[in-house]
Amino acid sequence: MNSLKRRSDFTILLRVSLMLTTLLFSIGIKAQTDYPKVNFNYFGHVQIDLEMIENLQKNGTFNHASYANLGEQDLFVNAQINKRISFLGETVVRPDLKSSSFFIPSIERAQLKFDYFRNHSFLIGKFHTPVNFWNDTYHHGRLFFPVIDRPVMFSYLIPLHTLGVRLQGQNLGALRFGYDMVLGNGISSNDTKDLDMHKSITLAAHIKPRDGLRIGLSYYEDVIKGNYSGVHSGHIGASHVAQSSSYKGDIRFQLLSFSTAWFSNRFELLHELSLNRTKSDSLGIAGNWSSFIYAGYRINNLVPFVVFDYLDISEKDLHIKSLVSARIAIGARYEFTPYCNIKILAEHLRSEELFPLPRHNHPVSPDIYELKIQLAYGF
Amino acid sequence: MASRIVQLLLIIFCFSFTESQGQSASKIKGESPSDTELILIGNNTDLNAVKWQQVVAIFRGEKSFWPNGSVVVLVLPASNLESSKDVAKQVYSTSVAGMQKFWLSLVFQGRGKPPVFIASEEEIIKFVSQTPGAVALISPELKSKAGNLIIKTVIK
Repeated sequence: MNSLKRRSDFTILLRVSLMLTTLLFSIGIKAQTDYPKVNFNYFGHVQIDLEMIENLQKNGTFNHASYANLGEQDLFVNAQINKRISFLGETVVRPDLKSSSFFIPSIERAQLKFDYFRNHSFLIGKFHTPVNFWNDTYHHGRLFFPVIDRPVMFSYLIPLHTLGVRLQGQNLGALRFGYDMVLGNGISSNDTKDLDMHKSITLAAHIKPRDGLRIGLSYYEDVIKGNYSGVHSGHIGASHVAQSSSYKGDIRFQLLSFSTAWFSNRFELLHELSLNRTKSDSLGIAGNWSSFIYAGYRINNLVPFVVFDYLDISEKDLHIKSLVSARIAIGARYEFTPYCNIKILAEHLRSEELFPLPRHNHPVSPDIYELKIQLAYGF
Repeated sequence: MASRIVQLLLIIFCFSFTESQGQSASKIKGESPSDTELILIGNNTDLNAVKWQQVVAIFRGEKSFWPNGSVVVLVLPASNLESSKDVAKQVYSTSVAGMQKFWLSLVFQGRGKPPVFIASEEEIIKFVSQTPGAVALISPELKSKAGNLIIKTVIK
């Protein structure tokens, strides 16, 4: 009995000693380094839409609708874990028409970063694929968007996320050169599984020759297994993209993107150009392209702007049904504070085919006129 | 249609690049947009003969580590301090609100470590003195309190 009691006392003593040692060691580390340093931010937006959609059955007439909608709500966390390791997470609750509540949670970014040498880093996790300025900069923060919506190419051509590993360098040399090299799951994957051994590759580079100016170039390549889109091919939802359902073979997907972003104290200019090539065993090579141009002029806190957004999907493409659409918009952004702004925008969208907007259950015409007001916040 | 768009893009691209050359030239001469004086202070930063362009680069988050390996810890004046206007204007060429948005955006991109905003210049000096790798810009009135933390008067 005594032996058992001594053993029990010894175990308790050992546990208490271990706890105290751990506690003191933790305090010691905390006092010396003050890690982890954690920051939380919240971003979101509310929007009002007024739309006029041409009624194809009755020439010259329009269907009207107006509604307010709650946009994406974004919880952002940034933590410096130690001197060289940091974590970044972005979890968004976003509208989804397939959900019973019309909202679903989504992990948009979850990445560990290791700064291994000066301005060079190694990252692992889920990122926004750094194919262009928009996808590498604005993410889900409508507060930072210069306009209300993402470029149309984001719903069709841009592989939004990649889950994998990434080498990154930034602010190197006089031109502030930056690079990103990503190897990860491809377009047909989801956040838990990929369908094949082929991984997507992203090679991106940019320079910042002056403050506010960034010029970038990128190349992305993947094989879309069985012509299947996973969760990384469109923020409005992969289902939004009208795929060809008959072709079930693999598709080789290549994307070349150019970005010019210039945000000075007066002029604002953003140009995103993407050239896409898909190759199937059936129809061979298809060439698609899209160009987005935004230009604004700042007058104190007010920025009037114009937008031109063009998309051309080839008839030979077997991943996305052929589509040509053009969007022209004029609007203004007013910044109340760095943490809150309002945008108003009038746009005309015209496409050669029926535009498959998911919120319309009735047939829509190629001509859509919309007036949008968006209040965006982040703090 | 396509060729016209390409022509337009080329014109825009050339225009942007021309502007960039002009502004870079003025920065190389070391000109600052204001005649306000600020004092650069730091702790274990390895900074000695620092140029204006280097100060701007450091405070824009373009440097992660000092040559001695310690982490760059940026300390910025909170918006209630008068010096925040000078720092925003001279380092970021914008307003205090613009400076705050610059950092909110950079951290959100995952391309920068958040700076420490402090609401008192005495506290800024205290924080820098206790934090290896910390660097800050303070008003000349506080020069006597900064002691051996002073690296140099960077702007005149």
